[in-house]
Amino acid sequence: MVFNTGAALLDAIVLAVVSREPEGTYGYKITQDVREALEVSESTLYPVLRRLLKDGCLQVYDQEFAGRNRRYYKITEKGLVQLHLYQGEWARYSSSITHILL
Amino acid sequence: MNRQEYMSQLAYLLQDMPESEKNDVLQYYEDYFEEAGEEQEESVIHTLGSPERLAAMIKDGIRSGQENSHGEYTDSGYRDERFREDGKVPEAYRKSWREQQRSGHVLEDQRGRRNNGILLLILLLVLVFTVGPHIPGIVFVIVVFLFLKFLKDRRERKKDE
Repeated sequence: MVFNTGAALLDAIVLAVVSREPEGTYGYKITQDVREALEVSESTLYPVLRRLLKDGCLQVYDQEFAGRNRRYYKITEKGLVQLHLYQGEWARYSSSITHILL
Repeated sequence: MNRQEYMSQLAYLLQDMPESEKNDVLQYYEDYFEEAGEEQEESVIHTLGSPERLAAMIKDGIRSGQENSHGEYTDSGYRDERFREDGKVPEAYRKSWREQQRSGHVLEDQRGRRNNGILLLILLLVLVFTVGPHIPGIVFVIVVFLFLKFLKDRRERKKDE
């Protein structure tokens, strides 16, 4: 079954996933978490994260873990605002579709 | 292909990117491999797709930013028509292809038809230039033959009279 997900929806999902961790989370974990919702390829996440970073919705910091460096992504104020916007939009959009489809 | 080969291929393909940008990308995927662990190395490489495809998607993702409406995230994975690997070189590297994509869907059928048309045209030209010069000669021979036949028929008719 194929319902295509636009970039905006993926942004929303990534923001939601990252927002779950107040201290932030790292790329690999983000991919795993997103995959709970969507069968997304590993190759897609980087451009999304980078875009959100550029837009100021996410911020990064590095932290050592098990002797290597890990880059963490954390949601920003702007990111939270954007996420809430997406959540509202999704509620409206999905309920319209549900109403017509089901 | 193993992780090292994959990453060095990727690094090679991204060399036209700004240095810091490139390093961020490479670091991201190095970290990714690290987190996944050695046992997952093969499976990661498999889902990442070819280095060419990944590099193309990254560069494109960086370039288009928000206006990223070419890709679709489906239940069966990410799909971007421009990066479908039918041939060796991802479509995204063909500039004219991109121009076409701006205006709509994959024009593969049209491209196939256009190729056939061009092939036909070439064939026709070859025929014209090889067989063509002989046509007057051939016509002449046919005319002579018909004339002789006409004469022969006339002689036979005259004999009958």
